[in-house]
Amino acid sequence: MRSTTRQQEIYYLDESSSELSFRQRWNSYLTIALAISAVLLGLTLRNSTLNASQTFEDLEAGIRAQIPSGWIVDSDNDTDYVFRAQDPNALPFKTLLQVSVIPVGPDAAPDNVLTYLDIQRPAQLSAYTRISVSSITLRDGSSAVRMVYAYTQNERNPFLESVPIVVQGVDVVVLRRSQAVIITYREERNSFDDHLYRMDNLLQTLEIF
Amino acid sequence: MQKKHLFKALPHPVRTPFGTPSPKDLERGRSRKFSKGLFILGILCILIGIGAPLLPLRGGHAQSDPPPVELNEDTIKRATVFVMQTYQEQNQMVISCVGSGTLVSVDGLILTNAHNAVPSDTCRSDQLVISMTVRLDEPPIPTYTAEIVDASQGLNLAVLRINGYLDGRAIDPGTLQLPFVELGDSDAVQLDDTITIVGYPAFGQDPVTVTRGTAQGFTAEARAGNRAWLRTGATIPGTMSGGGAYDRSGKLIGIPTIAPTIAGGELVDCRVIQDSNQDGRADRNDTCVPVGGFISTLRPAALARGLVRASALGIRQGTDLTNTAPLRAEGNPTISTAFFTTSVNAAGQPGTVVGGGAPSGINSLYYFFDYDNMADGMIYELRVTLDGNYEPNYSLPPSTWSGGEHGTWYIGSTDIIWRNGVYEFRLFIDGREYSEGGKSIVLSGAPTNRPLFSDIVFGVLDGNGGLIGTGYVLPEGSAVQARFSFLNMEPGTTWTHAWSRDGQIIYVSNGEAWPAERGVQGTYDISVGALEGGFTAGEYRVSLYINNELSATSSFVIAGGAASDNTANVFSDIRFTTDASSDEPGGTARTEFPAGIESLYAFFNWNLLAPGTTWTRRWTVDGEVMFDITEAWDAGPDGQNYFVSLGSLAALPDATYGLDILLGNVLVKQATVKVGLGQLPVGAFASASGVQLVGRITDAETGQGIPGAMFIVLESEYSIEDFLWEQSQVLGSSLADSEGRFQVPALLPRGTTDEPLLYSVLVRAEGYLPVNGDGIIVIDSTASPIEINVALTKN
Repeated sequence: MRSTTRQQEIYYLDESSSELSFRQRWNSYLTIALAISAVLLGLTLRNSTLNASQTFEDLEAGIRAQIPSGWIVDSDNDTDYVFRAQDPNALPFKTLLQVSVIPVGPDAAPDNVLTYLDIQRPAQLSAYTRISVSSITLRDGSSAVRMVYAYTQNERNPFLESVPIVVQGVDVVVLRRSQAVIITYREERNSFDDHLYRMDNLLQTLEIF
Repeated sequence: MQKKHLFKALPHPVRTPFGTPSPKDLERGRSRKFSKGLFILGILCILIGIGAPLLPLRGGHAQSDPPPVELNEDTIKRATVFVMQTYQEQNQMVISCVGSGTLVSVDGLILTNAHNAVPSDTCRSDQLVISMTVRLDEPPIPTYTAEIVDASQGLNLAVLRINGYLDGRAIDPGTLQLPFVELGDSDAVQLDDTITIVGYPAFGQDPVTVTRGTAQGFTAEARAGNRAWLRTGATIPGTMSGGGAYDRSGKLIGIPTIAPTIAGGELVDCRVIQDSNQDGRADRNDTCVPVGGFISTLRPAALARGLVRASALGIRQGTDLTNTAPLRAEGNPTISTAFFTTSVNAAGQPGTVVGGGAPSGINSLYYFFDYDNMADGMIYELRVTLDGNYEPNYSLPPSTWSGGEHGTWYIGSTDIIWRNGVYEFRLFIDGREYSEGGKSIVLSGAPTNRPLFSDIVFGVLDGNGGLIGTGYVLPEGSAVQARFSFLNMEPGTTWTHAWSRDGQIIYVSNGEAWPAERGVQGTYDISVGALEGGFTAGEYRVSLYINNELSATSSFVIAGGAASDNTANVFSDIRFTTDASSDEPGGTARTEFPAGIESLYAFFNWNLLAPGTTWTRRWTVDGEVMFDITEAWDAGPDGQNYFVSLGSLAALPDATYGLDILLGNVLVKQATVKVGLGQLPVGAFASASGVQLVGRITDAETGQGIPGAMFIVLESEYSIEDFLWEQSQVLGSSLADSEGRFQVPALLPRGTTDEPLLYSVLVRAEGYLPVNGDGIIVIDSTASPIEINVALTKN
């Protein structure tokens, strides 16, 4: 009975439809345009929120850069890096951007720094492996070396059961007087390329003074 | 029309003729209101979302009545570790000894038995492997390596520190986030209190086990006092040795302890569990893992507190006792002069000697014996039978010897009624019975009026016949008086007194008849007449006999010159420095040092102290005993600049450090020195006294865990509003595991009821709405861990 009624009602509505008036037509166009604008605005707002950045500045270390907003920033003086920013939302690995400065001798080359990192990291990172090294030129025209590497991140708390995460990282090493500036980006292997723009943004905005 | 029709299909409220609601109507109305309320409540729950799980915490712990702290069995089980001593042979790791242990700090300090960790002839070891219980119903999983921080062979206790992963990677202790238990007050344990014992019952193939029993008595032992051991009736397998015993609030009050039993140089119970020589067979040619018998004794936590606290502060005493292999004297030990007494005074001296019998109803009995040629680390055991049946409550199971080479020792049981019957005491050392130590006593009947001597003290007579400088440490001189009490001494009773020095008789009186004028009860002084050379430095003993039966005996030490009050002036001029070079004080001796010093040396001079005399040095930190070392004096009779020291790998914490020097349990010299502020920093033991935060982060829709979701706890001074996403504002954070479980590595410091500490938390995961919460309140009685479960909604 109810289904019959509904059919009748639909029939009635179909029967009652007719050509739209000028006003109705433009109302429809405006509604569609408004909806599209709202979606675009939403997307823009979302992107601007997601890509919002803040300025990090360390006058003592001579580093200034734009880093994503909403990331946890560690710039404790006791650490061996100038800052380390991590995305608390990222799953499963917390995307990392880091800038560190280490002293080097006057005759040191960027490759020496990479060797130093290669020696240090196996003791800190499980299954650490260097993947590739290449030379790049930074925005300001200075030359740098870029090393890509990988390791596995294991949960060290024995009471938490986590599958090891394969992490891919990239270090860009720039020599500055008697210091080497190391810019680091690390991300879970499968998301590495997708979020590599974070590293590019950092390199674009990084000022070493 | 159709809509109307549909509406008609809805039930109408039934009304009474007078327009007032009928009871049925009322009921339906209430039901509808309830449904509406439920709906609104549901909407509210949705609106406040996943923060709801946090709400109980806000109110729960904020109440003025603190929640009752009860034993958390899961936490205790997780804090119980399996300790394996291992060594490398033919490229494989061989397990030599196993036992249990307990985590006593979040950063990986483990309390266990010394025999579970210190390498020995029985337990060859070059690496300690720690297995953790990850799932409560499964065997432990080898996870870490550990090192010995400090150990006491005599107490059979050791503190280990987790220092690496099995793959060789080192661990920064600050990064560990392990469950742990807190030490309780073992002195507060009363008879019949319920005790929960936790440990591993086998060789690591079984899950951690909980056994319950009651406190059934206390065993006294020389140097450790009346509560040297806590007795329990629980059945505890030997591999649970080193585990934990807990009171009803879950505090660690004892350590189940038994040394592997040795008989004739061979381990009595030793199991082969692997092919250590790699000959394709696991047989008697392979290394076997010793198993102690069943445990009935617990080392009270009070005796472990100093070790644990010193380890937590990173303080070490100068001599490394952890890896010192016991020095075995040549030849077999000798045991002599075994006797019983019913009381022991503060100096460790017996009251009156009980002969072959004692009346019914006594509640304490001590078994004394002299020993020679012993060595620390030997395994000794006292087996007591009552009318031929083994009595575990009065016996001492195999224990590690710590009394040094020679001296007098006692074992006793207090606070329990000794039942009537014939008791046989049999002493075993390294599995061999020493008949000289065998002794029996009959307890029955009413007290008799037999004559007896008791309570011998020593001193020097003043001009008025009074005894001055009384005690058990006297200066060198020509006259020493011994004063004792007597009772029921009928005139004519024959008595004798004998004096000995370092075990050699120096004077024996002729048998004398007790004169009537002395009475039958009172005190009496005796002395040795013209002793050649007088009383020179050494250890002396006076024994009193009645009718040729030992009735009382006591020892004293002669050392040092006489001070103005006739007390012994043995040690003098204690000076503290931060360095020592060529056995000379380095730097300036001071009573206050700035913060940050790495070592503290105490130099002192000594005078007229016989080599071999037993002495004790006791280091205190803010008045709490950290190290208590008793050994034989190893220097000449006189000298300057003997030194002992404390050290730290980093810096000694600010505190007031004290050095007490004792002879024969009598304090003869003490001094203190301030470092930095002169008191331990607030929260010096914070690594072992905070609240752990654990929980699970799930998808609100599916209930599945969200791996990688981040749980952040802010420092108590910051709220969500104040958070600027700076790491310095973060107390700790944890990533959820594959099940969504998390465990914040940092412990939440406790506030007080009057000044609670409030914490804020954030939960973040990509694709989910963020959750923030303020107001997690932590006070001194907040139970640990706090569990927070958060359901995140997809965005």
